[in-house]
Amino acid sequence: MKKVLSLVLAFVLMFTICIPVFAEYVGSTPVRVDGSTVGASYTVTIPATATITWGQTEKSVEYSVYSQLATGKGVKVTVNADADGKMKNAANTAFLEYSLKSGTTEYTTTKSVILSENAEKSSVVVQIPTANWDKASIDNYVGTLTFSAELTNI
Amino acid sequence: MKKVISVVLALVMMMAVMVPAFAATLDVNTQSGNSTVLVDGITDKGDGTYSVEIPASVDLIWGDTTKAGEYKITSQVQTDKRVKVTLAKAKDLTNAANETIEFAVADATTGIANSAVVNNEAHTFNLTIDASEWAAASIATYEGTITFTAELADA
Repeated sequence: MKKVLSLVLAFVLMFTICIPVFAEYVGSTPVRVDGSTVGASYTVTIPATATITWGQTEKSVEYSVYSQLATGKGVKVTVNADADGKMKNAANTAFLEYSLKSGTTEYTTTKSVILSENAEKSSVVVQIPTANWDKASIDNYVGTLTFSAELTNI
Repeated sequence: MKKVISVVLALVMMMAVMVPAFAATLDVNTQSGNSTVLVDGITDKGDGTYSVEIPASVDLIWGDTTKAGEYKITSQVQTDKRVKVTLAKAKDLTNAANETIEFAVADATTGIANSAVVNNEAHTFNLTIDASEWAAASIATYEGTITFTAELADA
């Protein structure tokens, strides 16, 4: 009995001083964000009005864009002059012709993510040559610029 | 109560005449929008400008019973306005002895520009002298005066 007991105690002592050395195991767990489920967003802020002083041959109309889009996407803004570039008086009896300066009617943002506080700015330039002013009767004229925005690859 | 109503009405009137100048925004739902381009020409230029070029003199040959003349209108005025020029005889042909030959501005005593914007638009007028005036006049040098009056008129 004593022998058995001494053996048991010896084993217990052996285990108590054993330092377990387990085999090393390295694993990984993917952390995923499925951005495809989140809609892209962008905001193009355009001025309600742009006032041109009589005789002014060029007027820059500034607008700004910020966005959060899929990687590789940008916002393309296109500006067109309505009514074939004719500003009209209230009675629609007098006209003042204008055009949009070549190269300023389109703008594509440079990044997919643009913070609102760092919105990208661009301008479309309205041109009214002196000759057009000279042939216009004195009146109040109103025209319309149409801004269109779309997503594009950048 | 009346004061309150008057204040409310005043505010309503103020709001009614206020022109909102808010910027518009485009986004994924609203892909297009408009900006208004304004030229407030009435404020900037008022009535506009015009000039009338009149002849320095109209030279008659003794015995002329009619003589045509011309003046020119240049204008850039409000759309519904025209430059109107009125001719009138201010003084008959008169010589140094204060003798006169009567003449008249015939026909087009008033000229109106064809549109608000014209450039050197020519208008003619005619002077008429009755032959009997020449017959009764002593030979001398005579000088008279025509007055041109320009104004803006409704189109």
